[in-house]
This record gives sequence, C-alpha cells and structure tokens, in this order.
Amino acid sequence: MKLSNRLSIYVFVVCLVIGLGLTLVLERTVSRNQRQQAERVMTMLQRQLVANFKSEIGDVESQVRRSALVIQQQGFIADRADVGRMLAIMTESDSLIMGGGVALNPDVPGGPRREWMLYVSIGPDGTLQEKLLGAPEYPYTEMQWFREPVEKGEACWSQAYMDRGAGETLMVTYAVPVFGDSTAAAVVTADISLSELARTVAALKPYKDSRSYLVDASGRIRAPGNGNDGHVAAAMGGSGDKIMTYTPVAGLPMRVMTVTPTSSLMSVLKEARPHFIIIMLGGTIILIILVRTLLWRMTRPLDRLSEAADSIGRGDFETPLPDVGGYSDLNRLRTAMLNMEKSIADYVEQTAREALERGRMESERKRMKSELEVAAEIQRAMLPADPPETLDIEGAQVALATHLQPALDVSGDLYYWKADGPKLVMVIADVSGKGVPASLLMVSLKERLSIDLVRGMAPAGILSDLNDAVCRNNPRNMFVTMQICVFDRRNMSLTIANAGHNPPVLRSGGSWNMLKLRPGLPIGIMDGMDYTETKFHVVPGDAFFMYTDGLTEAENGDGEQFGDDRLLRLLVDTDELPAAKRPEEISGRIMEFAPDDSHDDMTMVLARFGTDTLRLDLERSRESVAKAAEVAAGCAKRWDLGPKTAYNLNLVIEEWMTNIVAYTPRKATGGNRFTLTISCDGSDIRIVTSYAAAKFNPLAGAPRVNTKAPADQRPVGGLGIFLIRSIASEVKHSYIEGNNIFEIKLSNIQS
Amino acid sequence: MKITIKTDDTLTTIAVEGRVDTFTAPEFDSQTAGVPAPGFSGDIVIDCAGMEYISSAGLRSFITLLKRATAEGCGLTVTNLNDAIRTVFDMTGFTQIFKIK
Repeated sequence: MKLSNRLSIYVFVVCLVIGLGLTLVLERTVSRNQRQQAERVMTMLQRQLVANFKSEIGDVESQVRRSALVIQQQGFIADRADVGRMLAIMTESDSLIMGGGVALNPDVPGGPRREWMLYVSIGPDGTLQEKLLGAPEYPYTEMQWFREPVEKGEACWSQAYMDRGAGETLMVTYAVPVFGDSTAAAVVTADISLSELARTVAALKPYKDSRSYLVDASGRIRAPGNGNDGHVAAAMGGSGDKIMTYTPVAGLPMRVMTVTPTSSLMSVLKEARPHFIIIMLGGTIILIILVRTLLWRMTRPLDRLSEAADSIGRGDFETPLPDVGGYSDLNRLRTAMLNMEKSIADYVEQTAREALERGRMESERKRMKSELEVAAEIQRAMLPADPPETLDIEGAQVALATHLQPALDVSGDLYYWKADGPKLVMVIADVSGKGVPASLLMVSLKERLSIDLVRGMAPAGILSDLNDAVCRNNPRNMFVTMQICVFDRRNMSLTIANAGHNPPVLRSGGSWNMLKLRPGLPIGIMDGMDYTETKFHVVPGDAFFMYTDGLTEAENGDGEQFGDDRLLRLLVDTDELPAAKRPEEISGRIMEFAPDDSHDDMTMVLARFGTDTLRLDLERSRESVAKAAEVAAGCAKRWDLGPKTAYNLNLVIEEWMTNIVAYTPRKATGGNRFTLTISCDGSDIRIVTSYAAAKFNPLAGAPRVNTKAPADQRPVGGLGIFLIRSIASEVKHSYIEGNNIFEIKLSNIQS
Repeated sequence: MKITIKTDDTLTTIAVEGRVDTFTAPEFDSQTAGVPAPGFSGDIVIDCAGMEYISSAGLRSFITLLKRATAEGCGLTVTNLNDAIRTVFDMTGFTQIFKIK
C-alpha cells in the first residue's frame, strides 16, 4: 500500500475518532448539566407555583381560624343562624373556599351530647346553601377531618378527595378545632377546591414534554385527571429516561411532581448535531487534502529518484539524478545515491579489469598445465616397466618392486632397473628441485645411463661419466644424487656406487641395516670426480632397499622427520608382505605419519633375493664324484653356509653321486649324463638329480643299518644311503617321462 | 689327505689330516694297512684333529681298522673329532663302537 494512502487513512480515522470522542464527551457533559439544570428549573417553577398557592392557602387558614376563634369566643354554639351567617361570610370571603362547616363534638363533657353539623356551601348556581348534617346519614365523627384535629388539638389539612356532592372537584379540607376546655368542643372546617391548583399544576410544563402532577401522601396521582392516572410509579415507568422533581404543597399532604423525559432536553444538542457533523467532516476532508498534497510533494521526487535508481540498475552509471527541491532529507538521499552511483561505476570497472587479468592468468595456467601434463606423460613413458613379480637372473630369483610417487605432476626422482644376463642393475636418483627442468635433466641422465650400461661400464665409471656430462652443461647448477647397484649372480655380490645419495638398506642374516658406503659428491657439482664401489655378499633370503629422501624427510605436524630409524622399523614390520605390495604400504605409512607435509617425491627400489639355483650337467663317472667337494665348497661360499651345513651338503652330494655312478644300471637309456640342480632359498637346500634310465630307485634297495649293533656285527660298508637319509629332511624319488628324479632336501640350514 | 703314523711299544698314533672320502679312502686303507703292526698289543689312537671330512668310504676304512685292531686285541680310540664329524659318528652309531675322546 502506498505511504500516502496509508497516511490519509490514519488522518481520517484519527480525526473521526477525535470528533466522535469530543462529541461523546460534549453530549455527556451537556446532558448531565442539562439534567441538573432541568431539575433546578423544574424545582424552581414548582416552588414558585407552590409559593403562589401558599399565600392563597394562608388566607384560607387565617379565615378559618378567625371563624373558629369567633365561635370559641361565643362560648358555645348560640344560634344556628349566627353560625350560618358566619359560615357564609367565611365562604364568600375567599374564592377558594367552596364551603365551610361547624361540627359539634358530641363527646364534649357538659355539652349537648348530640351530633350537630352545619354546612354552608356554594351551590352549582352560585348561591349559598345551608345544610344540617348529622348521624346517621353523615357520621362526621368518624371522618378523618374531624377526628384528626380533635385528637391532635390543632388545625389540620386533610387528604385530598373528590367532592361527591358538587361535580367532580378535587377538594381538601382545613379543619380547626374549637376548644372549650381541654377538649375540642367543635371543629370548624373550610373546603377548598384544588381545581385551580390542579390546573396550575397541570399547566406547569417547564419543558416541552414535561408533565406535572399533584400527588397525595400515598403516591397516588390526584391531578390532572381524577385519580385514574394511577401511581407515581406508573408515571415514572415506561420507556425513556425521565427526570422527576417533587415539591411539597405548603402545609397540605400533597406534592407537586414534575416529570420530564430527557429526550426533550436533548433538543439543544439535537439542533447542534448536524452543524457539528458538518464541521467535523469538512475539517477532516480539508486536513486529508492538505496531507495528501504534502505527501505528493514529497513522493514525486522520490519516484523520480526511484526511476533514476532503476536506470542505474540497468547498467547506466552515467544516469543524472533529478532535482529534489529544498527538503534537506531528500537532498541527503540524493547525495548518497550520487556517491553510490559513482562507487558502483568504479567497482564495475575494477571488476572488469580484474576479470580480464584473471582470464589472462587462467589461460596462462592452462597452457602451463598442459605443458606439465605433456612433460609428465613423457616422464611416465621414460620410466621402466614395472618389474615382474620374480626376475630370474640366470638361476637366481629376485623379487623386485619399484615405486615412484611424485609430489607434483612431474617428479625429480628417477629409478631404473635392467636384468642383463647374470646381472641385475638397479639405479635410484634424485634431482635437486622439482618440476619440468628437474624431470628433463632426469630424462637425459637416464638415456646416458642406458648407453653406459650397454657399453658394460662399471657403476663407479658410470657415475663419473654422468657427472662429467652434467657438469659440462649445467646452467641452472642443478645437482643429482644417484646410486647404482649391480647384483651379480655369479658370485652373489652387490656392487654399489653412490653419489651423494641416501645409503641403502640391506637385510642380511635376518636384520635390516644401513649399509656403510663411501659416498661421493652428487653429480653435477664438480667434474672429474672418481667414485668408489663397495661390494657386499648376498645370500638367498636377503633383501635390499633403495629410496630417496622424500621418505626419510617427510615431516609431521611437530616438525619431526620420519628418519632412518623409523624407516628401518617400517622395513622390519612389512617384511611379511609380498614384495610387490610393500612399497605402497611403506609410502602409505609415511603419509600417515606426515599427512599435511607437502612431500618431496618418494621413490623406492626393493629387491628380495630368493631361491638361487645352480645347475650342473655331469657325466656318470668317478670324475664327477670328485667334483662333489668342489661343488659343496662353492655352494657354501656362495650361500654363506656354516661349517656343519657345508659338511652335510658335501656329504650328501658325494654319497648320492657315488650311488648314481656306482649303482645305476649301466645301460641307461639317456646316455651317460645326469643333471644336478642345487638350490637354496635361505632356509632349505634342495638337491635334485635327474637322469634318463629305466625306473630305478637305489634308495629302495639300500641295506638296513643297525646303529646299535656291536662292532663285530657292523658290516664294513653300506652307510652311504643311510647317511643321506639321516641328514636329509626329505628324500623323494619320482619317475617322470623317462627320467628318474631324486629330490633331497636339507632343512634349517645355518650360516 | 695326509697320514702320519707314530708308533712305539704301547701306542700307535695315526694322525689324519684332510679328507677321507671316496677318493682318499683307498689311500687311507693302504697307509694304515700295517696298523696294528704284527705283535703289537698296545693302543691305537686315530688323531682326527686335522681331519676335515669323512664320508661313508672313510667310515668303511675306520671300521676295517677297528675290526683288525679288535682282532689283534688292541684298543682303538678316536680323538679330536670336529663337530660335524662327531655328528656323523653319532648318526651312524660309531660313537658306540669306537672309543671317542
């Protein structure tokens, strides 16, 4: 809803309320006043009326009293005629008096004990009439007008009554007792008509609808009417509010009652009301018009400002703001809008500039990102394939696992492996820095390394060569830590050359240890460097681990690095896992240690040396048997066997070969050769011989040996097979595709 | 393999050095063929301090010597067996039939 409409409604309603309120208050006050006023007026008029009447009444009273006095002075009722005359005089003396009488009190002691009353009245024709009254027709002694003055001993006014005799006139009697002694001898009365009074009363209309009544002592209305108007209560009853006032009439037991319905009082207000309403409505309308005009004066400029704001909102920041006249508050709004328009214009311009800038940066970033993605792609392609679960290095099994987790898209780490005949080459390297330059250097290093390996260069020599190559062209002064490790299965050796890289870890004899090497300087520092090679011997069951410092230097929230000790412990803890799964587990645990660190690249090469197998192809001859010792000694050296195991191996091989040579049927189908395979996996040695012949198991026919027999019962020979059986944990013969195959297993070998 | 035999009236010592195996056992046999010397009734000691290795062939030679000694009524003691050879003697019950020191 519009403000102006609402304001108009408020003004209108408030004015209405005020107007009505005033009217109500006014009417209330006025009516109360009027009531009081009316009562006063009514009472005053009543009093006036009564006062008038009172003087008349007073005349009557004195007349009657005079008459009574006269009679009293006479002593006694002398003569009827005298009394009659007196009464006539009395009656005629006052217009009010309609008649008078003298009544004797029969109870007066000493008097004529009879009822005697003389009454004089004005007849309908206007002449005086005399009447003699007495019992039984007129038992005046019982009447109130007689008894009261006699009993009270003073003059009394009677109650009003209707005159039975002459027409229907409202009368009242004044009775004065005449005293002889103590008792009233007679009563002198005068009857007066109240019709004049009644008329006067009836004419008493202070207000338009006022009604006045003469009311007697019991509340009956005697005039106007003849007593048929009923009771005061009836007059007061009926609809509408009425005001009533009373005034007693002189000494009479009567009252003047005036009843005025309040509706006739309101006439004053009723007259004024229409004027009042007109003024009120007119005033309100004028006020509303004024208010609306003022509002309109104010909202016009506001509307114009709103239009200007709309225009600004549509994008026109040059919109001129309209004039708003002289009102200071409107001008303040205008100024504020002006400033705002300017600010918006500036802000929009700035935002546009920034968006432009951001757009430029974004496309730049995208370009860089795609370059990085390309570099990452190249690098990924450059890395060697994941090694198979087990490599067979000419009989020596190696489980190799490699892992590279770059910190960014491209990494500065490198790993490389190559199985070349009896050798397995493993390389790990770490370029200083990250990103594209580091990975590009890595790519070139890897290429040169491959070439050097093909040329058959030794690890130390390769490092020197790479170092010279990098130093020749190193504008950014980057350097590379590198470690080359060559496993040669011919002598179970690890040859390691190190250029500033973290020392590798070797598990030998069941425990993991950091190898002590003589590290050279990292590649790229200074040309012409020579590097040292260190050789270690490995046996089946040993393991070898190379890594970059991204592992050991991972920092947790407290600034603690993962470190060498934790790494060793982690290697021990993960020993049970298959080789392929270990690098992931290791990197996972390090990430758990340092979840928030922005890691360096994490690279790992893990090699576990498995079963090593030697294979000999021999002739079934005594010369071959002679080789047993040599073979056993070679195995012992190769696998670091302890003296006992070496002895047992020697013994088993010698005895077995003796058996094969001595007891195998000469007519062997496959010629004279047999193969001897000896393999060690770190805990057992298996000796497998295979020769083509008819199925023959020398073990089956071996003589039984009783070790408890006394010397003289011991045969001289036959101990060969027995010894084999005693030493080996397993001896098995099988015949497969024309070949006799024997497996002898020595368990729990010791080093 | 090298055999050194020292003998006097009561004691003949055969010092064995090296390996007594399929190949060297015949040599052992021939070199110890004269022990015990005829009429010798003393003790024979085979000192194995220098014996690195013995196989079933060697054991056979030892038994042969033992039987000969017993036949002549000479006591035979084997001394200074290394651990591995000792185990072999145990395995084959030789520790029961030879006096071991």
